[in-house]
Amino acid sequence: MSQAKANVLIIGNELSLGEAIKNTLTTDGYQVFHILHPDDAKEILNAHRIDIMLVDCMLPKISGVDFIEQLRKNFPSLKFRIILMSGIYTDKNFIQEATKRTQAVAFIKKEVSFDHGQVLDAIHKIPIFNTSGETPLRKTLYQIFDKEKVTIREKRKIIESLDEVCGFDLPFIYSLLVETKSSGYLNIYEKSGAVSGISFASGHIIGVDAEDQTTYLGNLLIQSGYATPNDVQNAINEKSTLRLGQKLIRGNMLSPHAFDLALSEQMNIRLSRTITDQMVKVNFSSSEVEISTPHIDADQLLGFLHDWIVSKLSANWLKSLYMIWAGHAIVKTSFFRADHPALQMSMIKQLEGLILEINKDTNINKLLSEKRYNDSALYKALHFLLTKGLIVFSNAASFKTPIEQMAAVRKVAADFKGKSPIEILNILNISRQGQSTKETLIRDFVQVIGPEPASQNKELYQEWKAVQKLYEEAVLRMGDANLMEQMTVANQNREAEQKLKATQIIEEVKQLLLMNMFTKAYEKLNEALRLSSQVPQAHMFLAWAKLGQNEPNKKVANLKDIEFDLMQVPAEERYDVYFPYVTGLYQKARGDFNSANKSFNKAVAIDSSFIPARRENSALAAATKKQDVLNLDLTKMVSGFFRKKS
Amino acid sequence: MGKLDVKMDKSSGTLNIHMAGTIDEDVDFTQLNLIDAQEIDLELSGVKSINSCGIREWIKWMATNKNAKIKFNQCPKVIVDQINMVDGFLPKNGKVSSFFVPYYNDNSGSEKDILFRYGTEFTEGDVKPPTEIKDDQGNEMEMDIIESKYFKFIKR
Repeated sequence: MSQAKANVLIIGNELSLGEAIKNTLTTDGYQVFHILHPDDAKEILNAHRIDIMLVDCMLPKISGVDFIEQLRKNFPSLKFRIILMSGIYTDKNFIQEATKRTQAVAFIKKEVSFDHGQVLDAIHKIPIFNTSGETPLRKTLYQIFDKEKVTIREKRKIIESLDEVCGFDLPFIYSLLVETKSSGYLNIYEKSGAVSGISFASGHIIGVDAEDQTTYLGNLLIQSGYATPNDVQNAINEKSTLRLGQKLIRGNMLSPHAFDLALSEQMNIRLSRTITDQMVKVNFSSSEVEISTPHIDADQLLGFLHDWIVSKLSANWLKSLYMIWAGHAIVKTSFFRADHPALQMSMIKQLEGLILEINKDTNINKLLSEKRYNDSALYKALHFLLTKGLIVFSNAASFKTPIEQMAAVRKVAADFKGKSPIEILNILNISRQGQSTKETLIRDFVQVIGPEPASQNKELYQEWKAVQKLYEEAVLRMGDANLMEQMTVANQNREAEQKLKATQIIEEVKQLLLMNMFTKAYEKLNEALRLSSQVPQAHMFLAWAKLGQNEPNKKVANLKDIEFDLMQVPAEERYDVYFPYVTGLYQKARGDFNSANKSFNKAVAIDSSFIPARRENSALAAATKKQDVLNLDLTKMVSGFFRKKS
Repeated sequence: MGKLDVKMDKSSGTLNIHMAGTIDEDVDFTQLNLIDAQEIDLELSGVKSINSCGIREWIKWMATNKNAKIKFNQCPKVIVDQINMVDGFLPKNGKVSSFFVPYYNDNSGSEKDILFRYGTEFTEGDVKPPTEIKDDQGNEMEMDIIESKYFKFIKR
């Protein structure tokens, strides 16, 4: 069905042949008209849009070639493709001449071996109608999510076929390029005209060229413990044309190896910054590129990929992406093995028992309905495993019973409730795809809610029909380009306003947290996250607010939540004073005072005037001293044992 | 010029520039003066790759002469991709005279680049691919690109 819904007009006075071709094309999904006489073409062309014309070179009273020339003259505004056919005029010179005059895209010889499939093949090859890049509900990029075996060439072709993608698609693209051991340049074009690029050499990321060249290097070296704050400050103050890292290495204040590690982390930060909710165009050009140091290899990428998926991808976006697969069984692939390093990543380990669940023929709908896991964490964990190719979805939705289908239908109904058509399309990530026909979109919706149920099952039938109707209405509104444009712009403006408002709230939150007003800060943070899930620093401050509220009876659950909040802090937000400080608070809450102390020290190293971290360090030191009997003076310790109780 | 090899010569009012290699951060287009040229013929078949730094430099370079007629000849896929993706890569005063289309045979794995020329295989808004392309073994080959994406610049 790659040529879905093109309209074809057959002109030829061999009735049986024309009808046979018509049947073949109709079966393949085309709308086909067949006329015996060229005079009837005018009526058809006035009444219908014709995409392809299949014309016999020998027509009554006129040659096919002359007829097409006349037609192009009489209907200059019409855009149609011509396929010529003939059983008589088959010599090379005629074909060349006829093809040239009519601008035909193909010439079919009606020889003995002629079969109707040749017409189909010719149509499939027509550039303008060949929609092999067609993206129905399932985006092209993720079509391999239901294929267990995908060759490297197929993966490369997927990358080459990409045009406009969401910034959230980039982790998967980076992973594919590393997996396929690609060499070349991935260029990313933003709507603003900015171009950034990632260089790959045999599956290693060796360079990230971003417009924003913020280095983070000083804080990165201090936080990683590779260099002391004093050394970094001295190197910055040193008057020299050398770069910071070179100065530190020359002064024996930093090892070259540590510097390479820091530069890899810097690449990670820059890659992380490319992952946004904005649409970008991407293009990969293969080229011979030599591996250089520092670089990110496949092993390092695994950790970064995990962090990007957890910290950068919005749960709503993942929900839209996986709506189409929500009823499909999750299946392990042959790459899955119990000791795969991906399964050791914190997100997967945090969702205890997830792998066992996957063994039990489950699907996303079931996992969500069990309420065992945080929805956002579940989507992110599954996306990570799918990206690594450890799991895939079965080919078809597996609604084993009407009850299961009803649950799926009701879930979609709840998601659609009160939504405008564009919001409904947004839920399924459709409005941004733009290449699919309405018919394909409507047809593929059964992947989400299952096939039309029997009318005897009244309740399911009615609810299914209601959801289908809402969806169809939304898809049909796509035809009104002006309305869609208006609604899209209005939506974008609203999102931008909400993001701005959320950012302002985050500033207030920061002040509240510094004043220890944790409950108020927590309320404000939730307000900000309701407005925009992508507001910077939100998860870090949320963890801080939760730790500050300190509800002992909910401690275990809270600490898990807090751990997830901290995981969601992206790499680029980890090198200011707040991240090590909040991490320290979390470690302290877990009773890991040693690590907490180190984290508070890091915060102080980054900003020595940051009082909360100094205060925590002093408190920790005092508490540790109190408990550490081995450090007590012996006289004091012995006298302490025998001191009279007051 | 580092990884990019450039040959320039001016004959009968046309500046001919032949490029081969990689266009990246090492390229220095300031050495290639376009300013006085009336017509510029770029021969790009030897360009192997271009990265984001190269794209930025190229756009700045093209903008140094907004009046000359600039012809892009024998554009390889990597250049066609940029023309399709990046505003200003093919400047308003530029025109593609010919470009390569990769062909592939699934069974033998053979690959071939076929030159599409203006007026023959493509015109304004229209593509007329050759009716048949065969590899050295006589296997019929298919275009190895997404046509709707690759020919986008022709339909603009």
